[in-house]
Amino acid sequence: MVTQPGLSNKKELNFDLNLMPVIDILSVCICFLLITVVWTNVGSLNVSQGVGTEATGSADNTPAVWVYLKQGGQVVMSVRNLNKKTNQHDTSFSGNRNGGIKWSSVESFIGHLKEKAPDLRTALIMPSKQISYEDIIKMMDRFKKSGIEDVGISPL
Amino acid sequence: MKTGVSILENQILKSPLAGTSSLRPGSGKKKRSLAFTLMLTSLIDAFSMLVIFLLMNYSSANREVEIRRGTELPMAESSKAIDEGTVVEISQGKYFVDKQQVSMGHLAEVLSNLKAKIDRTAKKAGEKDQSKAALIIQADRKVDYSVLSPVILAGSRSGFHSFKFAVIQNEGQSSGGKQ
Repeated sequence: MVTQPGLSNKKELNFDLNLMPVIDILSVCICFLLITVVWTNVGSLNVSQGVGTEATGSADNTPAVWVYLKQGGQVVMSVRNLNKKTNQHDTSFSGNRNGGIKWSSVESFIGHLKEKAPDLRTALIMPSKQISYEDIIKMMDRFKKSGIEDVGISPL
Repeated sequence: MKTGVSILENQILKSPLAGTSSLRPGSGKKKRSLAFTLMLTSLIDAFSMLVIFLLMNYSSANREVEIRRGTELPMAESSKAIDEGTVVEISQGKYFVDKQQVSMGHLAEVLSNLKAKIDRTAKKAGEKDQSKAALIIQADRKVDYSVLSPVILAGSRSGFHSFKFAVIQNEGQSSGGKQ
C-alpha cells in the first residue's frame, strides 16, 4: 500500500479507475456508427445532354472532341476547331481481340491531345446502341481525369 | 477475497494465475480465492480502434441512395458526391421514376410533370439554383446504351439538362470527389 512519507496516518494514494462507463460509451458509439456507416460510396458523374441544347450551341467554334463508340470496340475520335481553326482531325482505334475498347490507346491519345491543346474542355460522346453502359462511363471518366470537364452524351 | 482491497492492489500483489495455482497456493492459512480480475485495458483498446476507424469512414455529405438488388453500378474515379435530383432507375428492362414503375412510352410525360412540379416549387421558394432539376440515372453496368438512350431523350425533352450517372467511387477517391 503506497503512502505519503512523513504522515502518521496511513493515507492511500492509489485510486481505482472505473472503466465501466468508458466501455458503455464506446459500445454506444460503435453501435451508432455501425448502423450509420456507408461501406460503398455512391457518387455521380455529371454530364450534359449534348445535342440540341446550349451545350452544343456554345461549342460551335470552341475546340471539342467528338467520340464515336462503335461495335467491336472501335473508337473514332474527331477533334474539331483545334487551335482556333475550323478544322477536323479524325483518329480511329480498332478494338482488341475480345471486341473491347483498347483503353490504353484511348488514354494516351487523350493525354497527348490535352498536351497539344490545353484549352480543350469539351467532349461529346456518341455511342452506338450495343455499347455497354460501363464503357460509356469509363470513357467519360477518362475525359474528366484528363481535365476535359464538359462531357456530353448524345441520345440515339 | 478481502473486502475493501482495490482491484489494482489485488492485481499487483496476487496475480489470478498464482491465486489459482495448486503447486504454490500461497499462504496455507488463507483460503484460495477463485475470483479473477478481468483485464479491461485490451478491450478498451480494441473498442477505441473500432470507434476511430468507423469515425474516419463516416460521411454525412453523401445523399442516401438505394440500389436495387442485382444492380451493379459502374465504377469511376472522377466522380462527385451525389446531390439532389430525380432518380430514374433501370432494372431488368423496366424504368422506375422515384421508385414508381413507368412504361417507356410514358417516360417523357412523367418526367415533364415532375419537372413542372420542381419548377413551381423552386419558384415559390424563390430559389434560383437549378440543382434539383437534375436527373440521376441508376443502371446496371452491363446494360446496353439502347436501354439508356430513351431516358436521356425523355429527360432532355422534359427540360432536364443536367444528367448524373450514379457510379461507385473508386478507392483512393477523396470524399469531395474530383472532376
